[in-house]
Amino acid sequence: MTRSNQKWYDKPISKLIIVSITLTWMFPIFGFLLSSFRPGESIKRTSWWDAVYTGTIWSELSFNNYQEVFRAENLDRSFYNSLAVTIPSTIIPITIAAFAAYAFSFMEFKGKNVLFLFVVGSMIIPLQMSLIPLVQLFKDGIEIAGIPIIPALDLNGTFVATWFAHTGFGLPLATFLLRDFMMGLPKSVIESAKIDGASHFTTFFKLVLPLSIAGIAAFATFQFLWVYNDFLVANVFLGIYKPENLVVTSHMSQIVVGRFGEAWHLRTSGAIISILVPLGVFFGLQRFFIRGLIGGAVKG
Amino acid sequence: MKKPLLMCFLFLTLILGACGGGSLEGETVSITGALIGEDQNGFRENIKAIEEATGIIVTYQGSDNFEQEIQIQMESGDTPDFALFPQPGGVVDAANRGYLTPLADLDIDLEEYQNNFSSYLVGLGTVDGVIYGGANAANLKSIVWYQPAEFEARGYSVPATWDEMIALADQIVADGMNPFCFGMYSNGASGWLATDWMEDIMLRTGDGVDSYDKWVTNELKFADPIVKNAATLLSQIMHTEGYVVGGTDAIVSTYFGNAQDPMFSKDANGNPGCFMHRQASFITSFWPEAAQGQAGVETTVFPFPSVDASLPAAALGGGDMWAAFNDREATKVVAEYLLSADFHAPAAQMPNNARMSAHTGFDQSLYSNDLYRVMGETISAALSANSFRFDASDLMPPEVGGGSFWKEMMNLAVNGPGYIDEALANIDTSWP
Repeated sequence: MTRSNQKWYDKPISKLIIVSITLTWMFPIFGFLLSSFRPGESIKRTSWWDAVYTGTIWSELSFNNYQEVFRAENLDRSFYNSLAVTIPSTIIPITIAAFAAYAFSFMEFKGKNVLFLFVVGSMIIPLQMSLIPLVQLFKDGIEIAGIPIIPALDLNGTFVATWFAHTGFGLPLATFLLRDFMMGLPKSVIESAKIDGASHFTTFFKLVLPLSIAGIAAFATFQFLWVYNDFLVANVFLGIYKPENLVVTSHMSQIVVGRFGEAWHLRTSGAIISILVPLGVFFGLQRFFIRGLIGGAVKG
Repeated sequence: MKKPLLMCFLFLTLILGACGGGSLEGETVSITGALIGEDQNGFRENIKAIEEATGIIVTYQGSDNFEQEIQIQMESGDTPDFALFPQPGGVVDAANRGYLTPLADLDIDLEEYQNNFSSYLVGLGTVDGVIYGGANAANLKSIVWYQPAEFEARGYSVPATWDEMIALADQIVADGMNPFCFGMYSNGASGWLATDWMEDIMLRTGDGVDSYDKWVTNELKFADPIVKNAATLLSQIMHTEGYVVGGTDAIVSTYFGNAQDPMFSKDANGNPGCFMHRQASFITSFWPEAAQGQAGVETTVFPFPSVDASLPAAALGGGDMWAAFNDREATKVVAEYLLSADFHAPAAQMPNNARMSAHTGFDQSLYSNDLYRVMGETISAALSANSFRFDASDLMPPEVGGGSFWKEMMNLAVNGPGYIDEALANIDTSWP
């Protein structure tokens, strides 16, 4: 970052552009928020900008949509389920990826680059393609020539299945991001620890891990948001025919469609309610999030 | 070392003791299906009675992605105890793949089941002579919406036959108004409204259900005089000057959901835009909210008029069908309850219920609304007379039922009666 760069984005014109882009981005969300307070009948007959323009909007606004969503049975249970899926699905991949990232950054071994390429390459595989094979794997395990390589655990329909699935889908990106972050750590510190006779374990736990907190927090935010917002993986692995297994996304999707998909007013309010948790997480951790991303992938 | 072992033993006997005795108290039975929203609430009301009677915890969870999700659940080995398929085809497919338990294994009295629900419905859930599907609710497409007050004010009477309907339509045209609302536009599925009309006419002409069944399998070609006659009758509605509000052009461009709107808006003389609209019961969800509250009172239905008086009163509709994935004791108890005449009673009494029991012994007086009573009676009578049939276009191969049949009906609407022969020939050619 040179001095001229800083001057560039300090110019008023740049600020104006940034602010207007942000406002453009926020515009539909604003309409969304407004619609969540309007009755279903008005949403279908008049647009929200018409309602604002003619001023009828003020008499329409109410919390009825929110009340209707909150009246749904077991919604609290779904929030609890979402956390039960999300928190382990965030911690497990980070734990594994931190070790892997350390190895990729600071250890020398044969085939390191090929292995890393393999990890990064697996990010290309679309998640949707692996759903059914994974479902079958969880059910039947793997047997080669009569020898069970992976036992038939019959995991489908349990929370453990979603943890495994999310861990698998999250690991490549986690390893990639954390490795890049660790590569950015000052080499001299690690080397001096080595000279002082620290083992890899000591270096990892005493030095690299504390220094990587920003990167880890960045990925944790990312993974938390993605897992919390995920609908597909939860639906596939959690067996959503059990009302007690619904996560927020799948529960909301059922509340807000109505009988024939006509309940538009609930869709907006339901989305606002389900977005509250990720918003809290993001604002709580955004400092780390931005620092981690800039410090890692982009600069590295 | 001995103490924990003893504790374990005691604990085990406790558990076994609680489970023994043949009581199903506390067992869970899960049902999934495509019913959501108010239909889901109704179904949950229905299963409460068996919970109270047996202590089995019965859960129902619907999903608007049910059809995809049940595929995954079958693949994953993590299946619910029951699935309520919106179409019997789902039962047949799952049975073919070996996932389902036959009703005979659930200790169901098959003969009684057949008597209660008609052999036609039972046959739809049968694979190679083995009955897998349990009929549940049915819906009705053979209805025409009208406003009794508007009819009464002008001295019109509800038509019972096709000729009466045409006479009434001519009368309305002579009085300077339009008799029919007709809107076919439905994005990629445009055309299904006219195929529904065709099916309703087919059920009531020729040899009734016999020619209908042959038509579905293409044993009776589209070029057959019976089908051509049906298309001619439909064309009479679509193309007679002044019959359809907005004219023939409006038929193909009006969204089916908005098609009935003219009925609810009166002109300067207090005349509605149209007087009759043939559409299934779901259309009420698309009405303006004020009209929705008056469904069954201000706006109600009469059964689709008969065409050939010698045929029994027919009904075109659909129905869902459940199937079981195991034969646990609790599953058996719930299966028997699902087939009982009273099963649908709690939901039927709910004001927003839109599902009709397919059990011919169901007490029709239970419906909360005249609208559903008329539909329930029509369904029940047609089932008993074996003249209830499913939507033909859903049963035909997708190239026809979801392709050429729809498309040629759109072309017919645009091109007029002169196009009938070409339309029917084109559909025959496209049959795989």
